[in-house]
Amino acid sequence: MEKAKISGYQLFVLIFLFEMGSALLVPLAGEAKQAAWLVILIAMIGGFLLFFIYYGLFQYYPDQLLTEFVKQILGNFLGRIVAFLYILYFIYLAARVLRDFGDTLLTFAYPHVPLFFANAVFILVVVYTVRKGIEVLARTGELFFVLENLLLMTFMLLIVASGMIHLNNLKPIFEISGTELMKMGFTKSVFFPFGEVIVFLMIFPYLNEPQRLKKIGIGSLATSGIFLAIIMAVNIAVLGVDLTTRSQYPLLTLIQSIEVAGILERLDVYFLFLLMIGGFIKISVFTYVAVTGTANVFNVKQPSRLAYPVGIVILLISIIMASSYTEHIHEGLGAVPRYIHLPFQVIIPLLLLIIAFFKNRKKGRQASK
Amino acid sequence: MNRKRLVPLLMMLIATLFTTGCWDKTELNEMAIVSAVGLDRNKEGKLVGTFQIINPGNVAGALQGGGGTNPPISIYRATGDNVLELDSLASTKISRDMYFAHANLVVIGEELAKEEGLNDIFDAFERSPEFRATTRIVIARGVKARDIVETLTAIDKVSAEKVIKTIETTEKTQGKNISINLQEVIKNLLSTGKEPIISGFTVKGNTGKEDSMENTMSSDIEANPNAVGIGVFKDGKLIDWLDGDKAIGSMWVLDRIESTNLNLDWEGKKDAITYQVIRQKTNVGAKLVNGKPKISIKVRAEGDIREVNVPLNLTDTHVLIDLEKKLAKDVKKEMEVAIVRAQKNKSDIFGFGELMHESHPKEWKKLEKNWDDDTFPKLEVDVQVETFIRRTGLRNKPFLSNLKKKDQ
Amino acid sequence: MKIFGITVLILVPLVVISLGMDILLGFDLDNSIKHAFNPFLVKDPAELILFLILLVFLVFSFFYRKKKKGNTKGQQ
Repeated sequence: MEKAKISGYQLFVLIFLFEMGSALLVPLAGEAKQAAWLVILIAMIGGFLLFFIYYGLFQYYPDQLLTEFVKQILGNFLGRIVAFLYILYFIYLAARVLRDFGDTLLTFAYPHVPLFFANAVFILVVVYTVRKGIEVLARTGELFFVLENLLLMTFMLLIVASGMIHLNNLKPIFEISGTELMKMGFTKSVFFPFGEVIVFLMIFPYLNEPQRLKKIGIGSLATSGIFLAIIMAVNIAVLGVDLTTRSQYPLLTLIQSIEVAGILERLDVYFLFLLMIGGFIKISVFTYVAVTGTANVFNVKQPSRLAYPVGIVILLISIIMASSYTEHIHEGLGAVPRYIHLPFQVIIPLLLLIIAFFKNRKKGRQASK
Repeated sequence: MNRKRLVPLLMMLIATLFTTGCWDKTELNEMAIVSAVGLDRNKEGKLVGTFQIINPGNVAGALQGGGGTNPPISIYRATGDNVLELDSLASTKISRDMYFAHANLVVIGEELAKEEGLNDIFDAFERSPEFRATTRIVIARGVKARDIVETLTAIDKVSAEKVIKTIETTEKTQGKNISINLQEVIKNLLSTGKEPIISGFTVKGNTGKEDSMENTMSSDIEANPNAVGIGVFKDGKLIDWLDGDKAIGSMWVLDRIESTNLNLDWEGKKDAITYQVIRQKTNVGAKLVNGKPKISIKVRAEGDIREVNVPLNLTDTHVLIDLEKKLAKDVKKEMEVAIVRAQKNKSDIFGFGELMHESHPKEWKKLEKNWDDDTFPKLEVDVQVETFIRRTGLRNKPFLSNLKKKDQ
Repeated sequence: MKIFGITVLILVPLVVISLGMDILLGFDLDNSIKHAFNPFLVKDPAELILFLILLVFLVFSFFYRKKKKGNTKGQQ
């Protein structure tokens, strides 16, 4: 790991932007219909639980990265393999977000640009940022945080001002039974985006005030969760359930329907900004984490040398992973949560925590003896 | 003054006479800039040339939004036996010398193309230093070439410009036309293994007023030149027109499709789904199988779904695979129809012969003699098409899919 | 050269994962391989040029490390 420190505020900002990233764009928890916002909030609670697992792990090894303490917990050989799997996981997720980003851009703004081209240009910027290190990334995040919030605030104001919100669209809330909603909240929606916060296990050690981590993490998750829930609620209140679920990008449809005072309309550029900011931070975090992780597992002395090759791998995978956007989304909703998110976000960390608990208790006993 | 100084001084004075370089000068106000040339045949079999000349003052006036009462072009006609004669005859009517370097368009009348062919016309154009090799060629279909050259158009004030842009845009967005220039046409005329094809152009709503400003003063322009089909040539003579699907099919084979729309029937509903090709690549290969020439064409295209008028679940990848297969079949059919038509015409517009020449030079010598009349019409052509759907626009399911649910 | 090894080591399992995702969606292996690589079949010239440039840079990045080794060690 590099010698760098980030402040609590910076971590808060990074987690916030990371969570908002691609979750803003897609119809989150769309199958819950009117209660989508509720499901997001339930998923947020699930996110808290996951965060506590990660936080527990962090407390045992406060100055080590995920890829480092895995070796401590599972031994050198097995630890290395698990660490390597995590690197693959992060790169795969980075590629998924990159694909989301590229396809969205092409669908709504530049239909004739080749996907490879759009993705390549974007990943080059990300590679440049990653080479500069976590501190630069965190500072960029601070800048974007202000911009993103300004955008969201004005956008909310405009929606309210245009008088398009029909709260009746949100009724009946409990068309789907409570237990169903709980099930949805604790399965699919928790993995994306809340469970993805596991990547920050590779960033927590840089925090200069580790004692505040719990507050920062929960606070950030809660803020982003509430934001997402509000936006989804507004989506449904304005567009209705049908249009929201049929839209590839409900937020874009929402923004396109804004019309205030005859001049504030066609604000598609709002969506473009949100897309850029969210996508950039999310891919950068994933890439950064993958690069430091790889350097760590393979003992590369200069992680920045790895930034470009990893970037290219992400680019290639983002193209290879699916032949169409439909297939990409189909995978993202079906196979990925079940076969990839579940083990990497829940099962492995939980096992690690249990083993770490016993190992450290033994150690603690030995020390006290 | 001594002699030593005088001699150089004299030499310098004389030199100034010859270094000015104004021997071949033509001032701008002595030039009539020709923007388009139309060539027709009259009843006596003579060549009728129509020259479209730009009125610079009126074009500029129109651009600034002020003028527009006077036409931006003037037309001069001449009748003669060959192209240069037309030039000299026309100059008796024009106060200036005709300048051809900006002539972007040559329009050839359908009769002329059918009966005399192109072979007698192009030498003057090719030989002239002023004329450009990139000059576009179109055929006036159903009308005289002069009708197209004369017509006044809106938006693009100079109609030569309008014709060229229309062809380029239709080729780019639909693939129904081909933008082809003088050099390419001559090259294809010469080649034994490839025949030229040239876009057709016509003026619809011929009211007799298309050459007056009244024509452009109405919002619904009555006489508007528009692109129609592609003309097929054999031995330099126009023999057939390709329209609609056949034109697009030919363009597929020629690898000149940039973007086009494909309509697909779905469950009995006609043209229910529209797919837009965004980019494609066509590879054509020539082989000899047991001494017989064989052509194989492989097309790969990618694009987006743009319109769905049937309840179809586009979130399902298996549905997309079905769609891709059907689309590929449609494209294949389109291409095969175009190829069959070309074989019927005995005109190798796709350049299969040229390809054979490149890959099997020795055998080509034998094949060359009766390629057009015997080998090409019986040629075995194998077409393989793959289409890929990349995106489906801003919606996944069409709203019809939810309408139907409510009906049930 | 080590970086080259790492890159391949990362790339190969990820391609396998991508294929695996397709198979989990109910495609057979043949189809999923087609789906993985058909985005590379239709290329614009500009796209191809960019692809080659990126590849050249990638190869360059594998060797660049060796040359600069002594230099950067001094800086650290």
